[in-house]
Amino acid sequence: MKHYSLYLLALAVLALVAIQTTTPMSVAGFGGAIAMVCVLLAHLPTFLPVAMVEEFFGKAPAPLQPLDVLLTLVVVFSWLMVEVVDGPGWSNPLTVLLVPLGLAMGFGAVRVNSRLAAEIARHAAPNPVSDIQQLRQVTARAAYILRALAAAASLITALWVLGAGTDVASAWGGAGAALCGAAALVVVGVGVNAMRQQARGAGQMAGVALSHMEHITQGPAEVILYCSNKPTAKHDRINKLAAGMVAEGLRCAIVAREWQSLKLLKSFGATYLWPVPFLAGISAVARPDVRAVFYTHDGVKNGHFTRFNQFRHILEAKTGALARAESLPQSVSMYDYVIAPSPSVAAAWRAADSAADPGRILTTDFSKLAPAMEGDPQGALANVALFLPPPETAYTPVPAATRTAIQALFRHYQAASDAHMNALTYQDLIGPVPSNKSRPRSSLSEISRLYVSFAPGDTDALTLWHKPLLAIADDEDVPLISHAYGQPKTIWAEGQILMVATYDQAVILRATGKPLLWIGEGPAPEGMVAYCPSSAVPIHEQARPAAPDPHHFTSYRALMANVAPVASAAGGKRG
Amino acid sequence: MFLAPFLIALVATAAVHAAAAWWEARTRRDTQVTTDPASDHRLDKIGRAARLGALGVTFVLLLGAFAAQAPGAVFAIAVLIFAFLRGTLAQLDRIAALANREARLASALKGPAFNSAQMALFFSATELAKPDHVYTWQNELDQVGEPWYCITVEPQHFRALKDEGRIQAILLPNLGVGPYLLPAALKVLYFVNNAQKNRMVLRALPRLTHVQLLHGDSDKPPSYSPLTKNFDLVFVAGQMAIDRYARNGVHIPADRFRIVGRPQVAAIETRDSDATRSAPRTVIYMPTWRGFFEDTQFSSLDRADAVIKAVMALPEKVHLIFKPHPLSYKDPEWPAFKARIKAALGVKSAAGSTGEISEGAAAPFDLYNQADLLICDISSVMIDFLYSNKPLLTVLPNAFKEADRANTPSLVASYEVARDLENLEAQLAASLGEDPLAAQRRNVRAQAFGDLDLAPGAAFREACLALLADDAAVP
Repeated sequence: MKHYSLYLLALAVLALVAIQTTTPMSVAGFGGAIAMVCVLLAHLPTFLPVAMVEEFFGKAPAPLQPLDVLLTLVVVFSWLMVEVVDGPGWSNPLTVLLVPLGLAMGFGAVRVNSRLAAEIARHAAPNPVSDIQQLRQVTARAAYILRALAAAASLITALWVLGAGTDVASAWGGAGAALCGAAALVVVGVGVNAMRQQARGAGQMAGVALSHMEHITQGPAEVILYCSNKPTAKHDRINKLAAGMVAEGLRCAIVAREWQSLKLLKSFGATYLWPVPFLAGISAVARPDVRAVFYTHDGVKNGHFTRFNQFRHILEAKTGALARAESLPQSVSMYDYVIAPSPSVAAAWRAADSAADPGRILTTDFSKLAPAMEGDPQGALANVALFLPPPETAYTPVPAATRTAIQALFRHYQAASDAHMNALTYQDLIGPVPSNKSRPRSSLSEISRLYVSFAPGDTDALTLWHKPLLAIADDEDVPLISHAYGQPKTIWAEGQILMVATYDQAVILRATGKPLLWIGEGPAPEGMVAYCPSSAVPIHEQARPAAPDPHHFTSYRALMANVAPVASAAGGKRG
Repeated sequence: MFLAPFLIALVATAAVHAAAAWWEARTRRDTQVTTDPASDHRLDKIGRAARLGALGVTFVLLLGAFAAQAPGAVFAIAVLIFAFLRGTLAQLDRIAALANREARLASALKGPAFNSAQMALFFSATELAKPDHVYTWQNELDQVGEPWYCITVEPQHFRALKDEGRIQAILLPNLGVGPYLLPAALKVLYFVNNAQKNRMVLRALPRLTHVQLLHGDSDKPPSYSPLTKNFDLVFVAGQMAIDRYARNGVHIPADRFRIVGRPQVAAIETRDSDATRSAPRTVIYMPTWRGFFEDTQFSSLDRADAVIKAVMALPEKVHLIFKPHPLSYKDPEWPAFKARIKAALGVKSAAGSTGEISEGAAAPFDLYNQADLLICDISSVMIDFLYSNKPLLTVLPNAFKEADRANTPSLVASYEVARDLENLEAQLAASLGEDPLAAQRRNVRAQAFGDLDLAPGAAFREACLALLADDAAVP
């Protein structure tokens, strides 16, 4: 602001001095020279691009924006001064009118070009090789030069009037400025028209350009992540999907329907990013090698893409209002598959609409739980893993039966620890027992352990029924129980026998192929065995692996192979 | 005093407008993408209105300035502003015309001229000024009876085809994107050489059947290039060509070859060895060009003057026609060779023999028909001429070694001329006399042309049509 104030003040002072020191009859002498300096200073900024003026003077404050208007007004001001200095009456009215008109047209042309070019560029999307910039630059440069010529015409005419006095021919200067301004508008008009046509052509060619880009870069996209909303938290899901797919070696493309989200989506690391701000460009991204399209929310514009029935359309409903719905609304029927937030929600959705294909609702868990290894010990030494459900809330109370079973499990290992410690103590007292092949001497490290994960990371958050369990686990005299806090993934990876407390766990853990034991409330889910604390049968003999849920997937590749298998090549080259 | 600047300004404005219009016409020509004029770049209404408006306003302004007796500077400034504006419009037009080539091409390819064609010929040869290889196959492809067009990538070739107007052609301005524009109806793409750009098309369009025709059949390396392995099918003239690949370690499965003969030889008249020959007899000398690489240097151009002198010194009167290879014109030493050749042709012959250089458009096959004897190098000329049953002399290349003989089986059908030309006189006498190699030549001819039992071109036509059949089997 300071620079602008100084500049305007200097102009005003110079103008006043010029007016005061110039006799009406003659502009010669000191006053005339001051007036010329004032005219020169007033015109100089109009020769520069607006951005350069702002670079020199600093960003113009809001009241002076747009700067084009201020610069034009300054020139008008200088012409008014010239009129006053030139003598009484209006001797150059046409010039005073035409000059600002020419300048305004010049400034306007540059600004219109810049604004429209940005808008038009979107029509070329998703063509990655559109070349609108060249037209924009040539048009902008020509419009700028013509504007500068308008300013030059004004400056030369003003100096002419001040130096040589009023002349009818000075009107030609004004006419020249106006002509330059009009020419700038013509150039921009033609340039914008050319850009529009080119963008339209580029849009029509987008499919071809994408084919080429896919071919020469990373290969054709297999999956599309369709993003039809502005940057919001929902983009996190897109990010996770993209990262997961790329990690699995799937070539995925994000189709961005909102221009504003491009910047954010670029950072997601998908194989391709295809902006499609207008419906006209959508066919171009319906690539022939794409097999499935993922949506992370049921957006209004999703219908634009679900009409391509050559793809499998999959709605991931893990977040938002849909994730909390008791049943799937009719409006999501256009998706071939819906991924539920959890197996229990999936079961509820399936139950709510018994007429629908249950296989349409899927569940996923990409936590990469270690699968059962071939040759995993499943005998007496197999480690048992248990994830303790989180503390009760109003919505997720841990059933009493589950608590009872878990407490029994703890007591079982507590007793086993006691017996084992006694045996070791006895062995120490009597000395080493001679080696016996049929009953090898055991040590603590060779004994089956119970690995427990307490869900919260803070012991204070544990509720009343956890406390006794924690006390047992913390007891140094119970070495067969190891415990930790946090997520269950680690212990489920380490355990060879997994205790299953909830329906969700059951579906997720079935995919590992490990022996499972149901410790939850009610009858064991199909294919599983319930833990029986009072049974004389050891845990490792009670546990059984259960067949994986056919609608639950642990990798994108598995999901794709199931819902959108690759079409078998038919007919060879000419087929 | 005001009339002169006014008139000068009027003339200058008109000149600027004419120059810009010429430049825009040139832009249209430079940015053509198909032989169909409908696909040319055109100004739209806004563009035309802007140009007319600018011209009209300038004329009105000049008239006003003249009426108001404005200073000369006003006229000059008006013309300068018009020139700047008009130049900018022409520049914008060129940028737009260059940028929308693919879009225009895509649109044109949807037209019936291209959209229904199932065959096309891809041609690239940066070193050639004209698409000579396309002409080699033009009649034969026409005779298949199916629409086809030529796909070019070098503007000079497209321009030649467009100017000539006999072949539908397109120009791919960008070989990266261009192949993806080709219509889905296209099934078979023919290639007539082993240009490096072929592979970009092969890679971009795996759905098509890619057939290598080559533009000649000879014992030179281009006729057994490993690049030919890239193609789905290789059309060859006869078993000799297939053997040549195998002999040179270029292993192409047998089921990828199709013996189609040399359909072009239909234009060559055959003659029995005992046929009566009219006098003076005609000797054609067609040395090949000096290749890019050492292993393709088979030319006798450096000894052409000596060969010509020997012919002119024959005891019987002959007429010698020297026909240089089209690429020899690009040889930096061609002017020197030409001077020596002209001098040799100008040597006075005791028998009254005459000679000339055929630099015009005379087709090689027309020359074959005129010839009673051909002198050539190891090249496709040998094999094509073999079809005529007439005798031929082959000048061995400078670097020729005895070991090379195994790779040039067609040599046995010709009278070999030693590198130093020491047996040239004797071979000329034998070939123009008793012609002892006549029987041997017939055997080699049968090896070289696998379709001698059919009418020329019939095998080629059948092979092409078979590829268009719905149940075409392509390895």
